[in-house]
Amino acid sequence: MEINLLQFRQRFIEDASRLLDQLEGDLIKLEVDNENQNIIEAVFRAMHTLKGVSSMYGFDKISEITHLAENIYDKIRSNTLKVSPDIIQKTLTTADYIRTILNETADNQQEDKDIYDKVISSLTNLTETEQEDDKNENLIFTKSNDANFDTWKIIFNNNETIIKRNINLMGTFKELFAMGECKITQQELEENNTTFEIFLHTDKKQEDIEDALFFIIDYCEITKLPNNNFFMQKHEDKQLIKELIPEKNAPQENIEFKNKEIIKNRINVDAAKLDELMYLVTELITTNSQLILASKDVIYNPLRPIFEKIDKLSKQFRNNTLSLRLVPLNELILKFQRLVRDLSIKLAKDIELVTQGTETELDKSTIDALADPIMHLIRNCIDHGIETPEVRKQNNKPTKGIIKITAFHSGNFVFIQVQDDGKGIDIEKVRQKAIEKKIITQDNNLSDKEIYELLFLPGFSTAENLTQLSGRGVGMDVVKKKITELRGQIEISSEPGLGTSFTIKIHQTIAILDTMLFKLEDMFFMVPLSDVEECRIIDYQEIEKRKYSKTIAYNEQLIPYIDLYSVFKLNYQENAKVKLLIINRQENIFCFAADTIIGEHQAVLKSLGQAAKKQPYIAVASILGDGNLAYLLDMNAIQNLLLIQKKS
Amino acid sequence: MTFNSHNTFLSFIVENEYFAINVDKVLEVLQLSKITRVPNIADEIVGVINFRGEIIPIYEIRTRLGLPKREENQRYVIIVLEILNNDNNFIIGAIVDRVNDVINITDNQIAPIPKLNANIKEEYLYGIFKKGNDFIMILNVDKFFEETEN
Amino acid sequence: MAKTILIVDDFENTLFVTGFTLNSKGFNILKALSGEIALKYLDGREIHLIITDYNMPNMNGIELVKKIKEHANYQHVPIFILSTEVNAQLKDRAFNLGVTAWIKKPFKIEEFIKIVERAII
Repeated sequence: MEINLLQFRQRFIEDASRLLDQLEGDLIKLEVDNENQNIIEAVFRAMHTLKGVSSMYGFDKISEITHLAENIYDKIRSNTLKVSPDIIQKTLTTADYIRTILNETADNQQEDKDIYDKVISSLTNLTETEQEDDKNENLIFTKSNDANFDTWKIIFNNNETIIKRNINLMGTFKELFAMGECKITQQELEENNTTFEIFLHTDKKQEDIEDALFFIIDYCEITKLPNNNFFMQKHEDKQLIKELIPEKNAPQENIEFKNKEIIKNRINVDAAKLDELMYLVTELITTNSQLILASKDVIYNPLRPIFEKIDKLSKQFRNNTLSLRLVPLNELILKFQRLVRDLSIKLAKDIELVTQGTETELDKSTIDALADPIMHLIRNCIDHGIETPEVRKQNNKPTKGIIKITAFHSGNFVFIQVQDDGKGIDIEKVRQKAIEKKIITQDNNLSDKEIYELLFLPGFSTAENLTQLSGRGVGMDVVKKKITELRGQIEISSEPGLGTSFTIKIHQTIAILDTMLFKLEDMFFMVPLSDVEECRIIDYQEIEKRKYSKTIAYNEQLIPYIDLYSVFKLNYQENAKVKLLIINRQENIFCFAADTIIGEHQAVLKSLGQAAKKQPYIAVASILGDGNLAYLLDMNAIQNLLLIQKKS
Repeated sequence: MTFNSHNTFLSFIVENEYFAINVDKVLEVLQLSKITRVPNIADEIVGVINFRGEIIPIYEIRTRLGLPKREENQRYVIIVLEILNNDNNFIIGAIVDRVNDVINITDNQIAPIPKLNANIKEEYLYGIFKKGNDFIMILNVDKFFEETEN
Repeated sequence: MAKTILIVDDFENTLFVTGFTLNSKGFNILKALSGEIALKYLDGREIHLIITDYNMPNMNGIELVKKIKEHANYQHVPIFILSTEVNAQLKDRAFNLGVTAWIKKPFKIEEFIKIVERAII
């Protein structure tokens, strides 16, 4: 058994965040389509759910705020209040604030108190302006509220075991009383065997009732009576009760049903479980390739067809598992819509976000990691790309600017394009700035593409004055870095006056990489298999001989030798024979030595995060079957060592 | 009597000194097992472990506290913490001798920080809590692990 | 006055984490790494709830329950058995012996705490 202290609460936070995403999307829709009952209902439900669940985890503030918001939307859905831009704005602010609370740490209590009061009063104001109606409203409210109530009948067969088990029946009954109106009658059947007949009128769900009956649930029979408040009836005679009791499988509450429909055919799986599955699959694949290799030694092997079948199956299995982790880009679009909406209001620009192909799927972890870089690109488009309506009018452009997000896949890659129809990038300005910053000189002749590349350099920004939006300390260099971390690429193209386009190219499935595994001392390292030209064994003298030029003779030519031992401050065990890995990267050929070359390894890559901060050569690792870690060499950084070697 | 997690602390011992960390920050307590070393790494990081599929760095807090090195063949414990650093959450592990207790401390029980030896910077601490004859140093983990970022 | 819970589990880590969680909810915790050790705690002190793992070497959870029920002073203390198994027969046997709740592992900590609070208060 493994109990994670904060696990349960954390799951609530995740669920609530998802709910908030959905809520935001609904609110933005509602802003345009403000009489759509379905959306209003959805917003109401979201608030209701948040209210109910948040207090369970001690988020009392959320509970209070959502209670107010729920009231507002309850009024809207019963047509006593109309959706207004003000209401939408305040609800969005509320959603933001809930998010803040969810991420809250203990430190910012005071500041928080102020915001909390503000949100509360803004919501209260919304209801108070309608105070006149409020009085009538109250009446309707209790009545309509009644719709969420159900009457349940619980038959509980008390027997000896209950007493033996030291179950405190009074406690259980008290809990039922606290849930709503409750009536309990006891019927003596035989000695030591009593039956309790319990009627409960409550807005709680069946799970809650079952929960309250936790200790005695095995002896209970719970039925839901037709939607009718038993307690409102004057006559309590047995006859009526009998009439009320019929169908055991009373239909579920409508709204519940709707929710279920949305989830249809989808199962929520803990991402960690998928990771574990992924890990097992990789292990399978690795073992399988060992098997294939071993079977190759025998010229005639009757088992080979079976091995090959297993090989094929495990590859299919792997692909299937990878596809389980795919989620559509749509998940992010709501966030983007919100950003475009908020920023264009702030900057008094008229902008529409258009999407295409956002059903394209990517690995969940990639989607999560892409959210920030894409947000930044959009921010850039809004801030620097799209002009104000006045300027656009002068230039004979439609006053409404467009940001378009397009996604599609091609081969194993997904392309995501963020385009605007703004003013484009002023190449000359970028060039001047680069000269100013002494990055290039006056006579450097750069292609347009190379000039765009300059924008990705740290600390390079073309905006005359940093606005509060893009100038948040993150620049295009961070975007580029993030995308490189995902082993993706980003390119800019731009047409003056017509707009700018950013294209991200990224692997569809998570970082599974075919690598060559080798050992230095007791540590495992990997290089991408595609970079490996050959493994060979040479005499130690070969290295010794050209110690000063740091080269090795290979196929009639001299190639550079990189000493990984000194890079990683390790000791080389002198050996008569040296195992060499020959690397070929776009015709750049070089080599390094290893203590042991183990063989091919399919690596599921994981970030090393902070642990690898101090050096550029490794950033990701893969967990091996025995729990050991293997570090993937960043071949760009390794190759750059050659430049340093050359200079020195 | 009710407690909320804001004033609940996990106390632990390093080299006979008592420390405490807010339980809000604690994800798990693990028995120290194999730590994988990483080449070219900060002195304070012993290596990494696989924690629920994530690779997390393990800090030798003795180094930062200026305490003597750990002894071989002794049992140690890793406290897995979630720390906030530059608005980002990180998961890290810290090696301690053993966890001691879960205690409730209200704000008014926290005494100000006295003059300390140079190794424990004032900003690493929220304050001191006196429990019986023991003085428990309440760590500000966000600050404590901050500098090692770069 | 804080209520006392005796936790029995042969796996130290579970013992620690369960104890840690319940302790942070204000309960006094007694920990035993085996049924034999658990029985030593039944020395007249007040215990409000016993939580035991089912699967333990030497003496399993049900055997422990039998022994506890022999103690005049402790036969009325509610007992929870934690188990990864949900064998209906086993569960019935446990209930007939007077086990208050059979809780399947793994469980959500918040729900677990709720059940504990229900049994004690």
